[in-house]
Amino acid sequence: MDVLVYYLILIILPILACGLFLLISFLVINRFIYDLFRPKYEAAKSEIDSFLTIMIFSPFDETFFKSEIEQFKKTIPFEKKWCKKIIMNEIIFLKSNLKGDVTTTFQFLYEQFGLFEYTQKLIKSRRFYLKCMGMFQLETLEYKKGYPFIVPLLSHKNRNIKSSAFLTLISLNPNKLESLIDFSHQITIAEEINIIDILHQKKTKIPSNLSQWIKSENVSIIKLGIKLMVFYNYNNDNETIIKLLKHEDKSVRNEAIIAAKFLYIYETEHLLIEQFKHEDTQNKLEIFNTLSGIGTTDSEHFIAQLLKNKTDENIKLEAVYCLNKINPNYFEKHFLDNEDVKKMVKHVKTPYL
Amino acid sequence: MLDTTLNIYAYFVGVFSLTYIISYTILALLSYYAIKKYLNTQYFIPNNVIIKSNHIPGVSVVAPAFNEGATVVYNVKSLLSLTYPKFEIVLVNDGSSDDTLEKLIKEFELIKVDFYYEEKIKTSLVRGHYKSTNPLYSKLLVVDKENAKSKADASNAGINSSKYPLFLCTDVDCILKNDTIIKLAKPFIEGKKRVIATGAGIRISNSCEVKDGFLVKIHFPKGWYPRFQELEYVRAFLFGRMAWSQINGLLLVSGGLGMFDKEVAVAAGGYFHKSLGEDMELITRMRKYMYDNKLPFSIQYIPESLCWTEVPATKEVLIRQRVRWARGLIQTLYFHKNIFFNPKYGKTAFLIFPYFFLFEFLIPILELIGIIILIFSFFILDLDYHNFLYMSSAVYLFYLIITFISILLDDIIYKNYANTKEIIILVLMAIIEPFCYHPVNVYASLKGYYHFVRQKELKWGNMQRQGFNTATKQN
Repeated sequence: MDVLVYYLILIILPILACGLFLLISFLVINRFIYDLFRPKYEAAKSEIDSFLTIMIFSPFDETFFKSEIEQFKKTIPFEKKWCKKIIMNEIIFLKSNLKGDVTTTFQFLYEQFGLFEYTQKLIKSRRFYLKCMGMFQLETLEYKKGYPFIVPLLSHKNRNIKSSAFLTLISLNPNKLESLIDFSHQITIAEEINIIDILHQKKTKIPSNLSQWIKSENVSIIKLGIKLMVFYNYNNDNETIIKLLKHEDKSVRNEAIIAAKFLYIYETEHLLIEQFKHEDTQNKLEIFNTLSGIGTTDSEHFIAQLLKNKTDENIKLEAVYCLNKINPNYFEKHFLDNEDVKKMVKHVKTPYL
Repeated sequence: MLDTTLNIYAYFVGVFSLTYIISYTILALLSYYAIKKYLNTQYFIPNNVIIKSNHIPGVSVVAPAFNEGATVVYNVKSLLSLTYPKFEIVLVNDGSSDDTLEKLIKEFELIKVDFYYEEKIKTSLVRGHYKSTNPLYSKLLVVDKENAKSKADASNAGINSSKYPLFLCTDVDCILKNDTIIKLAKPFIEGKKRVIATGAGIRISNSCEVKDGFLVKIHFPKGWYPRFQELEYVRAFLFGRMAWSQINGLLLVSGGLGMFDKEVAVAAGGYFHKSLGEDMELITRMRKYMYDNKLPFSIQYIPESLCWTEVPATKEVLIRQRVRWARGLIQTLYFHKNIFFNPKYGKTAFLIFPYFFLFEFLIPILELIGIIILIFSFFILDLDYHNFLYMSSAVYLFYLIITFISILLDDIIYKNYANTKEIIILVLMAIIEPFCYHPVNVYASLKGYYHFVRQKELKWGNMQRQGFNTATKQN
């Protein structure tokens, strides 16, 4: 005990006391410096905001823009890193929120403020998130000159960098979408959302090898392929989609069921009915969704039978929704003695629900 | 004999304190790593991409309301203004005896609809469902139910009525940041394992400027108790929960703000209406369910303040709240005692539950014993006050360092405080907290344990709201 107390007095307490003193000092001084710096920062931000807005909404004139930018640089602490960051963020913000053909103006501003050099520095950085941030800047600004900096990163061992590089690549050169088939790793939902968003924005043409995607060994490529077929309303490969309804992976089947609805693949109706009992709740609900779009009297009989057999509690309301969509008059003559179904029909027919 | 007992106790407390300090040091490192990881990857899917996407899960915001007539309209408008492409607001009128429902019907042009209510989780009687005839409020569903003296029961009715696969539980008087749903739903989209719940930081709204249910300006709390709680919240959310999140060890997602996977929450039985710590209890059961079914899962926390709530401003209300929390803690540990060291429950059995037992449940008891021994020693035994002072100083300094690290992280990343003065006030509050505020908490915890042992009747204390500063008042 005495030894412990000895060390406590001699080492631990002084270390803790010094640490505490330093921590408090840092906390207060750091904040104090920030408070001093904040007005300067806000003033610069406000000036940058106004300047960029004026420039964006002015007719593009290279000489005029150049002289205005050079003059503006003198009014703000342009040489500071934080100032460049503000300009970069503001350009990205405006570019993401403005529609219309303003890309050239943004790219011109980006170049004239020397921000491409800043982006390059980020991409060359050793930190993965800085690399990703740099690529994000190129992607948002659609800055094609950044293309050579991206290509080497496509084979980077870091998963995040590789993924960002690919997204930037297809954003800068949408025709490169074909190369996705060679991806060996699983594409996450987040990446799928990003890819679809890029396609939405760029209105890219259909990848020429899309038919191959849905035959890939990589499940996530198949799913993305089906999503793209739906996105492009691509009807030339319906037979493969029908085959995918029996794919061993549940999530692929789910995607194929959804595609059957959006691509109006009427041939799938009987297969979906047959497949129904083998699926889990999520896929069952999706089958109802699809049948409500492509279902005929066969689906009517199938769902009516399910309701008579007191189907799974979690899906019966969806079953009623589906039946009502296939035949809105169905419940006028059927299930009139089934109170539970009658309640569900009321729910389904309520316009506000 | 007495000397031996006291010696054994002294060694026990020494080892215990050392373990406590080591645990907190590890948590500090984990927390730092988790925050850094979050900040480095947060822009992978930009918010605007999510807003435009059709491939994201829908979210039902479940908000129980009991006698909130004075503010419910503004609160609902605030919730309706959240940004997310696919969401609904399920407001549960928990048998209010005031004009909550009437106000909602009038303001939002509600009519009673033939809603097919499936009681997936057992609740008290649901009297009806209301929807708006005005397309502007099509996202709103009002559930009217009988009061069962339990927020858990009201939340369960909301979950039963919700239509989307994720639900966000909040209190109707909580003010949520506009992008709250996006931020909380993101881990569900990005997660490699199945994410079953997410939570985020909660802050104190007592002195904030609020207009029509919207947060106009954030202000540092004015009263003593809210300020102490500010310290507590920063420490708990930014420090403790982020660390637990990093090792997938979260046992608590606050009732004020938490998003859940509906399928798992329903399968686990929803909120337990007899629990006084229903939020912790639900997470415990969800964890158990996933372990029982051998399903990999994760529960994640976001190091951002997304929700502002009013906290107790007086000692009496604070004690009432903390008694309830303490009782909720012991209830959960007791109800799920089969988790302790059961190999089936992995780290919940060997790390999380023992931690909560040792460092959350046991500490108030040990502190009480310590005080008794101290008093006893003063009169009877020859206590070495110097050594006692050194030991106490070490623990005190360590506590201060942990608190200041939390404040520093918060200030560097989010700048939630207006100026240096507020930081200095917070520093001073932290210095006196162990002497002024902590004893109140210890007392409340012990009282909670006592109530649990005596099985006192469950009561839902009605927190007296002080109300917000309105923006107009400030003008």
